[in-house]
Amino acid sequence: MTSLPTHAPTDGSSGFVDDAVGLPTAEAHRLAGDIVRNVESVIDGKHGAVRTALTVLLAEGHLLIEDVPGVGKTMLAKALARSIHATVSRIQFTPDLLPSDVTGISVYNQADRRFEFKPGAVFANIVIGDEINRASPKTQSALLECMEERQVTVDGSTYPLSSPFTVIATQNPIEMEGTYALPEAQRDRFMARISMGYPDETSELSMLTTRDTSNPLSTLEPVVSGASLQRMMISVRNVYVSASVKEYAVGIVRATRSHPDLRLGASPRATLQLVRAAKALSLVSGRDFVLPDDIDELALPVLGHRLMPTSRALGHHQRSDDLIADLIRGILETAVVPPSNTR
Amino acid sequence: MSVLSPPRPDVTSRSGTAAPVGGDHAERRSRAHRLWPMSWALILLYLVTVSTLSPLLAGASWWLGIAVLGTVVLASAAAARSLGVRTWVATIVGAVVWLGLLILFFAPDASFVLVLPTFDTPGVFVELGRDGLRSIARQGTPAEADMGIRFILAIGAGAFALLLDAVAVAGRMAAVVGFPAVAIALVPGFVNGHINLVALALCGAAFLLVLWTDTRVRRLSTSRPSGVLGIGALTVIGSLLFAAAAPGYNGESLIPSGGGSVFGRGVSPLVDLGKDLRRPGGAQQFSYTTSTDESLYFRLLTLDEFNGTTWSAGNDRVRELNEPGTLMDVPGLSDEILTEPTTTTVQVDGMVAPWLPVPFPSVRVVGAEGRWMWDMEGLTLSSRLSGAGGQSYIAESVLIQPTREQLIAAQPEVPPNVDRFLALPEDIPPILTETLAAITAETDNAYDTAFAIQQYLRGSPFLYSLEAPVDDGYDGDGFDVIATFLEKKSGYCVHFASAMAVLSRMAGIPARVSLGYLPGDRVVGAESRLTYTVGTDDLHSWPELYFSGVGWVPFEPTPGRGVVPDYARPQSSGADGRNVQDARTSERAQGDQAPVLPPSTTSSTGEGAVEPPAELLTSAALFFLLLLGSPGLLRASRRRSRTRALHSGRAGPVTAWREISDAAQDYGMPVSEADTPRAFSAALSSRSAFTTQEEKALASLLDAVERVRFADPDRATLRLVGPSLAANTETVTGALRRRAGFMDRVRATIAPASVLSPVYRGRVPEPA
Repeated sequence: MTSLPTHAPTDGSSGFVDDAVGLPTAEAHRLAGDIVRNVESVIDGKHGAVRTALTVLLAEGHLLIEDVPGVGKTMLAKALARSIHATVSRIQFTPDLLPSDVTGISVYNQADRRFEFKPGAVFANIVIGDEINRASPKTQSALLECMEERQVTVDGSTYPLSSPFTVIATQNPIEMEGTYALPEAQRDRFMARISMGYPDETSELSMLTTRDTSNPLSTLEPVVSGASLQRMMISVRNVYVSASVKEYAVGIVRATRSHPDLRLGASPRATLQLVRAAKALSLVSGRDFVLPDDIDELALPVLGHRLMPTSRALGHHQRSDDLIADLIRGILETAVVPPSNTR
Repeated sequence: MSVLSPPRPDVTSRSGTAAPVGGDHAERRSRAHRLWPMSWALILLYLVTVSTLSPLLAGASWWLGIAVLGTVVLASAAAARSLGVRTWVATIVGAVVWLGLLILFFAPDASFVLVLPTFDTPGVFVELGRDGLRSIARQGTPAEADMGIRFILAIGAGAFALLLDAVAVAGRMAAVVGFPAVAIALVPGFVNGHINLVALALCGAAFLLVLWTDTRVRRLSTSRPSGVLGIGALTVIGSLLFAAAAPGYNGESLIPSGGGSVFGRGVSPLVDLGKDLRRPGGAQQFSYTTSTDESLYFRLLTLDEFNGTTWSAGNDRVRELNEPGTLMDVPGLSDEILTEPTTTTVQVDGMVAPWLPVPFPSVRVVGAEGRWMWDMEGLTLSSRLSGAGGQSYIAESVLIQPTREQLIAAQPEVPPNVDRFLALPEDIPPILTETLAAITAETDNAYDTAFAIQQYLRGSPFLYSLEAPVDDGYDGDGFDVIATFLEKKSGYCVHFASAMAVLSRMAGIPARVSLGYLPGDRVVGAESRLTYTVGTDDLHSWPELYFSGVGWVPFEPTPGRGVVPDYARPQSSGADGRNVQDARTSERAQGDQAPVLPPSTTSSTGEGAVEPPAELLTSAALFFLLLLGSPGLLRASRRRSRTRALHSGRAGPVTAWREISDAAQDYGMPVSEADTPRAFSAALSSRSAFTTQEEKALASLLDAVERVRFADPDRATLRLVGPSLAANTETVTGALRRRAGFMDRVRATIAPASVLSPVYRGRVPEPA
């Protein structure tokens, strides 16, 4: 386990104020733009991924980045974390990593003659879990429990995690030797899964000139304070979702449950997180209301990793991800936005 | 995991949303499958349109053949597409199937394995086509659908089916098929003035179904082969020209030439005779020159079987092979009866029937072409293959001239072979028995009885009328009809003849009904003064009674028609028995096309039908045009009311958006109910290449509609209202219209998809 240098106190308590009010939409939009631009100064041509990552952050969810090595998964996570003035920790998962390395441990203090809690890496605003599939299931589930409950219980004492708290985990889908891929049910705890994909030609060319000499991350400065981030999160909660958009989201999730090619559809938690993410995306786009198009944009990242195709449907496809992307596209193409605007 | 969700049974193998893989062929097949509903709709339109021709043709068997032909052609084209054949090639497949069916139906003898053409096939087709044209020229309506007419129908209907397939399926221009359909549906109106509004409405409904199906199918596949616009335009122009040039109503025939009539081959020739008589315009049937001064009745066939509902020619008779040239014996004729050998030269003109008109009793016919055969008992000539049309022949006959005394002296016993002419069904209506009893109370022999019956029917209460039976619903020749006739005492020759024949049979005199022509009109100024012409209004039927030793003797019970033979005239009467008609008709000039019928009947025979039904035609055409134009009118009125509402501020952005969406759909852009406003606007601007100003109008409309539909109503403020909203809407719809192709604009006007296949959008309440 290693820790990144942090910009804030490392004791786990954050500098966020509790009684903050939300930012005006325009202001939140401007800040979101700043963050996206900041991150994009180190990652070229990945606007969609950056946007989704920020959306998940603002929606107080956790993000799973799944892709082949070397496309910038960790870079995205680090850049996002650095753009915000918040505590950041990074866990490099290995097979011998213990749950206590993640959560923290009670150590006997000779001087005080009592046990003292040493917080683990999870006590930070943004936790980067690198190559989460390399850890043993035991350690994985320790992290996943923290993600869900936003607290750590060690030796009978419960320690709340800092707020905001976001885990950005990366996973390598091709290197399967000696790894423990996250079970599908566990993936449900991540709000969204994105994959980076390869950069296009121009982005790759410009990368050669800018990344050759220095690590761009080192020059990255925070553009948003923790307090502003928290106020943005409050703004997200205040984004309006019309009844028809809610029905639309529910309709899409329910369609996954009755789809003949899917063995496992999306859970009610998925519905909740889909709408919450859509609210965040609306704010990122500078709107204080959710459009069905926000739901459309997020359907694949939010629902994709929760669906399990039947083996028969899988037979035609090389990768189950392709199949699932097709299925979700099909559902979106036929889903109708309910017309009623009940108020 | 499987505990959470046991594997579901797979309902379908594929989601159906992924793009079809496997190249052109598979894609064409899947597209063709979606086109099947279109083919079914076209088949329906075809059947309905073809059915509108039924007033022009008698019977229904022609319809069945034509229906099968078109259905098979359309279905085979669709099936070929389903097998992966290109759309245009599939139409050609339909054409090949059509040709095969033509050969199978019409020229199986000149074919190879029934459907493949040989070198002889074109000759047969040309011959059939010529026959058909001749037949159309000669016949009135409803015409008998003989082989020639059927062939021409099959050509036309097959071409119509292929046109439907080529334009609507291959060309994707379903709106155009309305024009040929309208043109065909209006033909009966032009020809005989009767427009069946129900049929026309059905035709329109079938066309609307085609349009509706087309918009449904179009939404599934947006690709459209180019290069068919020209064909579509030609179709429109061609069909309009055809409709404009269709022959006007001339009161008698499809084509205003000599005209003519025909006997139906139906179950009851007598009923058909009634129709022929009522038909306006007495077209010339044949002319003849004879060697006798006597009036000659020409016979076509004899009806000797009566089953209670109709008279018919017995079919169970054993026919010996014979030739027209064979010298026949006159059945029952003995040497004591005076006969006058007569030679008659007949030239058939307009008549189309499988019988030759010959005087009774003819014993030999020379010069008839084709295969004709004698009916030995009736002494009529019929043919299965040949027609009387155009024939010229010489008939030798022996005109029997029995005296009254000879007839009175005839033995009441009849030979066994004549027994069947006495057969009657059991259920004789009481009025017949009563009438017979009253008439024959004082007669004591067969002749007196027959004479009494004839005189009774010729008596004063009875009126000759072609209309009364129809109006009162007793047009026919069955028991019930005869009973009603005796009660109403009004009818035409069929009623008189069949009544006398039935009454005679009841009285024990063998009787049959003959069908043929009256002597016709003497030609004024002809070289021989014994030249006559015979027209359709000379059609007649009369009874023949059998007397032992004399044979079959005709009687004339119809008042005002024909000539009463010497032996059947009242003794006291010094008149020659001729009816008033003869004197008048002899003055009639040949070629006179006016409906000429005896004065007693003229008033009721044709005048009503001759009235030019111009108003009816016009209103029917207007009705049809209205039906065709209704989608366009509906769309226009909707657009106007929306614009007005937008201007006045009564309607908001949702209405504006709906108008834009409808306009886009009308111009052939895919509009889906699953589209979000944003997705729709993106598709719109990417397809239409808007200018900056138009983009701006669209963007502001999009913003407005999104706010109205999805934003918090408490927080949202409407920036776009009233005239500016209307102006922006007009900018966008105008841009769509300018960028649409010509045919898209035509289709948007005639068959707006937004009306025919509205995208469901539910009701969005507009905030006040």
